[in-house]
Amino acid sequence: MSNNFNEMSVKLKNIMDSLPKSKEYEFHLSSAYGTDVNSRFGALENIQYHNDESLTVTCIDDKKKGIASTNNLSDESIKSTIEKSETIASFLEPDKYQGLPKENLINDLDIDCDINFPKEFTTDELIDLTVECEKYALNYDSKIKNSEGCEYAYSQSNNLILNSHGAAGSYSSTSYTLSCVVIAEDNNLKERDYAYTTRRNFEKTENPKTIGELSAQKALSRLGAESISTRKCPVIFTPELSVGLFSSFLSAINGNNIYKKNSFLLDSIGNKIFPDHLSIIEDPTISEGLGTRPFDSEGIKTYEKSLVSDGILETYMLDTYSAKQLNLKSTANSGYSNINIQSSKKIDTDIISSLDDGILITEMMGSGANILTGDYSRGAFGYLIKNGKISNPVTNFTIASNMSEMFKNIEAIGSDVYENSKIKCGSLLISEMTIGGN
Amino acid sequence: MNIIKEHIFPSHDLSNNHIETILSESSGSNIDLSDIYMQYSTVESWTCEDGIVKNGSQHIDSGYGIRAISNETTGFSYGNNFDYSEIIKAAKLSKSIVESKETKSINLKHENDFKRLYVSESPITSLTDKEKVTFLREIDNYIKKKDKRVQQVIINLSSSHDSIFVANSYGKYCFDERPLVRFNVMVILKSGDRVERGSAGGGGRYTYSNLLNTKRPFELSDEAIRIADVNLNSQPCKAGNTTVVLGSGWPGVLLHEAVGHGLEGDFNRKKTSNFSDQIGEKVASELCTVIDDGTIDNRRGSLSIDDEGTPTSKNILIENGILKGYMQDLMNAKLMNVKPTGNGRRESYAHLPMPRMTNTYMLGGSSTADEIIASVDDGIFAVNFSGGQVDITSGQFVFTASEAYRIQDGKVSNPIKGMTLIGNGPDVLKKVSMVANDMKLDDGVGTCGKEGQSVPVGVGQPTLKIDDITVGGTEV
Repeated sequence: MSNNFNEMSVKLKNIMDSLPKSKEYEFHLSSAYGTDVNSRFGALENIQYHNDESLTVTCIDDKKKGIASTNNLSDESIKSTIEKSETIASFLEPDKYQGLPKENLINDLDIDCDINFPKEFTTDELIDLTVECEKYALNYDSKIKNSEGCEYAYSQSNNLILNSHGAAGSYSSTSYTLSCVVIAEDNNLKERDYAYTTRRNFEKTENPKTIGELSAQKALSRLGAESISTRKCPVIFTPELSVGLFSSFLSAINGNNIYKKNSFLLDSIGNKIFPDHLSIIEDPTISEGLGTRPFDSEGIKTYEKSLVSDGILETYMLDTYSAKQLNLKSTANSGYSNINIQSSKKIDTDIISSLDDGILITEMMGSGANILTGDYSRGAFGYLIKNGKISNPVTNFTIASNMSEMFKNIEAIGSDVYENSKIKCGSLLISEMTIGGN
Repeated sequence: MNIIKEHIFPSHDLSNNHIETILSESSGSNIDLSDIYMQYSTVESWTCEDGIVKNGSQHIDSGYGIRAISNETTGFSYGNNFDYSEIIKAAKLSKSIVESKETKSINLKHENDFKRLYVSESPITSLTDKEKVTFLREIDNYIKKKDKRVQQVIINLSSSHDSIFVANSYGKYCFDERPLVRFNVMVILKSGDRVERGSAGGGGRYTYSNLLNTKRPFELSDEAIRIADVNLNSQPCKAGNTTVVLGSGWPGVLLHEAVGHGLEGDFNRKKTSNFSDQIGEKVASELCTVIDDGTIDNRRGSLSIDDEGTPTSKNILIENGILKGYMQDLMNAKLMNVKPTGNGRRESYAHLPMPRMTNTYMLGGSSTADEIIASVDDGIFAVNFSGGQVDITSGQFVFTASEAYRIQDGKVSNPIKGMTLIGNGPDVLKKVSMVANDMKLDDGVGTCGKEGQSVPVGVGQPTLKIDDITVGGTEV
């Protein structure tokens, strides 16, 4: 953790201690610095040097909560930000559920949770990585005729939380991301696709060759996609898309959507919403995990828990406020950490071979997942599956269902876990969805 | 008031001479253009939920970004410490893309003059905090009295004020102050077993009084209730190809996605767009004339000058079906050897400018909306959309409707739910077979995302008919 950040942490702690005890306060300080490099056709396109910091102050005065933030960390600005939060609070109306957490608070500064792997780079090293990656993509096939370039992004972040009930925690993390986007062209058709890798530790990122070639393969395989007729059939979601579906699930069990009655999973604790073979666990401690964190956004210590066990929903994800609204306790879920989607059902072969006839969905577009009703309707791109093999690409169709149905219809989960997300899940086989085509 | 000019410059002892030296440091023989963008931004938000005005926040973000461009390469660095020595460091870092350390003397000429499309006052200080809270309570009471099926009401009032300064190595410099107000209502209605949501909102570049002293907030509240009510009676949508009539106003988001992004200069310079190299060619039905216009007074998508200091303009993108031009920022205009169009926009000082839309709309035609509906035997009337996305390379786009109806025998019949439209931009524009005379701009709620940067935009269109487009739904 940088000296500046540590000095600022100590200063804020002292300020916190000097504030009146009649009100509740929370400080959240974050800082990040890093470099993004983009190259295209072997030449540098952009270098962006990042350097961000920001302080957010929450004041709760007589059950009224005001929030103010600034990116100017001078003494004068910190003082006026605190005052602004107090002023805003004074104009609001009391809400009996307001209050900062007082239990299970973190009390440990500069925590090492195995997600901080700083590395010194020269800009030229980063440029070389992007040029090399793109070269593998461009040289992969003569139909790879254009490129949107290749990007390397490195960042180091620091996070501090303090509250007037004694919460004090901070940790640092790093992230390394390499991505490549290329365009395949044939017979006046253009198709674009991408590949990327994101990790906490530079040594664990996939190499430029893998990412470059994968982006080329993906773009190429899309060429010549045809439309498809309207039908109902089984579909397989790639691991990346499965992650998206579970992120809608997590949003539907978020306490803030539950108490607002903005969820299709109201009153669902103890109910079977997934098939027997499916369980979901939150684990905040995974080494090098993209979601790993020792405390949540309110400074409550995180812990491992089961969200879904044998298909049954065990808990909502609650922060302090939504927990009070629902007369429950916080689950340290102001935000969430690493989510593991597990299946006890073992499949003999890979998930595609297990399916005689259906569609492999590789891309979805549009925002058609309705958390309130569960209605799901999105544009899609994919490949027909015939006799357990991937066949021709298909485009210009929609897939629709209701998430309650989709969850129950998850027949199997592949072992091909997606590594670029804090939600860890393999491919999903969903027994039936409606395909809208021509 | 411009806070950069009135506070940041004096408190950090910055003068035009300092800006010239900063730009000299980021310029040199191999640098085609460098610029500095300074911004002081204040954002506030007030939310009423459960009948209580329970959330209030204010965020201040200020800083500067310095860019140095050499041919197709850009160096960019930003910071939030306005000390001269820190800004000089950032300038040198931006120029590190070229090996030469040589600097170039820059003379800032007179301050650019331009037409101001909105007031310079901050909406945030235009009302007292107490008045904002009282207003939210009034709306909340209004909605709850109006409909007994209301389960939840969330009302948000927010605004921002940006003071900006931009100066570049051509010697140009200018200041702009940008107000932006937004009001939003979301209601959830319950009837029997069904619950449905309706939302509506509006806003623009003005102070609160332009919105709050009118009937608009009440009309928008009525609208949110109406949409939720319509959806309570909606039936599943049949999947397949059909004729679709798009309503006027917000459905123009389809143009934004299906055509607009593909006409941004950067994608066309790189030839990654579906519309690359097609200037002068027929890309749409002759009924289609599409315009991007950043010069409309007080609109959410308008800007007096873009984020590179170029005055915005009214640009014809497609005229009677023929592709006329792309939207450009300084860099892409220079590389494509055309004039900048005032479309160089950035989310903040910490982001690089790129060609972006302002207010994008289609001009009205000669039919009436009634004639268009009457011409459809079996199809869909899509009145509102909740979002969309496009792949600018293949042209593929997707939209989700938040309010849509079946059309049967030339008449609007039952509402349908969960409808998604999917198509190919150029393809769909060629299938526009009727355009009404009711061109309308949206209510001022659009936000566009591109490469991780969000900017406020406007959309608009008349009622129009598309023959044969793919619709998604759960029924076969």
